[in-house]
Amino acid sequence: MSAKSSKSKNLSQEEEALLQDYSRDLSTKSSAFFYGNAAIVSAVPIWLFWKIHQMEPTNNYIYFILGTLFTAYLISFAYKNVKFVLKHKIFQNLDNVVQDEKDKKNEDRSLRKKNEIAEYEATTYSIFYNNSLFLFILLVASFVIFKNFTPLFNYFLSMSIASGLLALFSTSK
Amino acid sequence: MKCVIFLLCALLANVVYSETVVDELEDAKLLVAKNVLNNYIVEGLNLTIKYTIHNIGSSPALNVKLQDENFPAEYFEYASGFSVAQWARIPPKSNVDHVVIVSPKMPGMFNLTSAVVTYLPSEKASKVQTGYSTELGEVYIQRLSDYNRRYASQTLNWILFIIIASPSILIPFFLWKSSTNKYQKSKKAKKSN
Repeated sequence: MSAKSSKSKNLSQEEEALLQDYSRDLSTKSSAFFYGNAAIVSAVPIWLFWKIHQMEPTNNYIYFILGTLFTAYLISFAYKNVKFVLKHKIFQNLDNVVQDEKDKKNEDRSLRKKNEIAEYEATTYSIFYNNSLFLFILLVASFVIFKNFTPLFNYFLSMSIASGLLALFSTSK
Repeated sequence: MKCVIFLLCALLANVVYSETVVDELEDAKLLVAKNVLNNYIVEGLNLTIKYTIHNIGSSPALNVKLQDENFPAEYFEYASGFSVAQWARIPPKSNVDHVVIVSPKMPGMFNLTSAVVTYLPSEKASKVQTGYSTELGEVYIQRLSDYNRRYASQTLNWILFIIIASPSILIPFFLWKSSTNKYQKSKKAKKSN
């Protein structure tokens, strides 16, 4: 009974591991990493609006904090989605990185290694892609579309549209 | 008879008019122009006001005093010049300038009214003549932040923004690229073996 239960436990653990690899859900570490990056890139425009649009942080810090938090949430959502799609594409394009594939153990190791590489590349590329797109849309919105708006409306509209479009584009395959 | 009376009246009017014109030309007559030399009037930045006094009369104007109370201390700060300027004598058919630089302390609408000039129109005159300069009417004093947003040079700020934003783009890119290159190298190495 105990051997059977341990075997079923092992299988379910493997299944859990597979599910974790192939699901959209992120580990705590990955989530923290994404949120941290999203917060940094969301805070970058504060300099822009402070120095160029003349929004003093001492007068507008509440709006900056709210804007940064809202934008960071949407950007991290976009990171997650883009990373998920990319990971599968990268995984499919990766050859086996472990040479000896005869044993099942090595095959599992090869798959794990591929998964790690795909995870890493998908994460970094997702962050690069989303950050670039966010800053580009923000600059266009802030200095072309909403150029003549008051700085506060400019900030909220530009940040919302940039992060909203990012989240929207990330949902497409 | 009526014709004679009419002609006499016309002659008399002509004589009186001529004498009046001669009187005006004989004494000094000052015209004062008040101009703002700036393109924009901005809170905290220097505003240059130029007063030009033209003496269009035939006599020198004496004891000329130009006074402008249009820039009270609670709204303006004098950076250069004074609100009162005096000249002992302004020759006929000539002009003098007086320049004042003030700095507005707060933004908003402001009424630029006339300056007052007082002078003696001739050496024999005892009654002081008073004149007023041109007025500019209501002007809008811009906020410094609005002015900087529209017109100030932002080159340095843009360069600093690029420096601040670059790590969030370049670091993930190089990490991804290094991983891709590493895998490409190992793939090529395997193929050559």
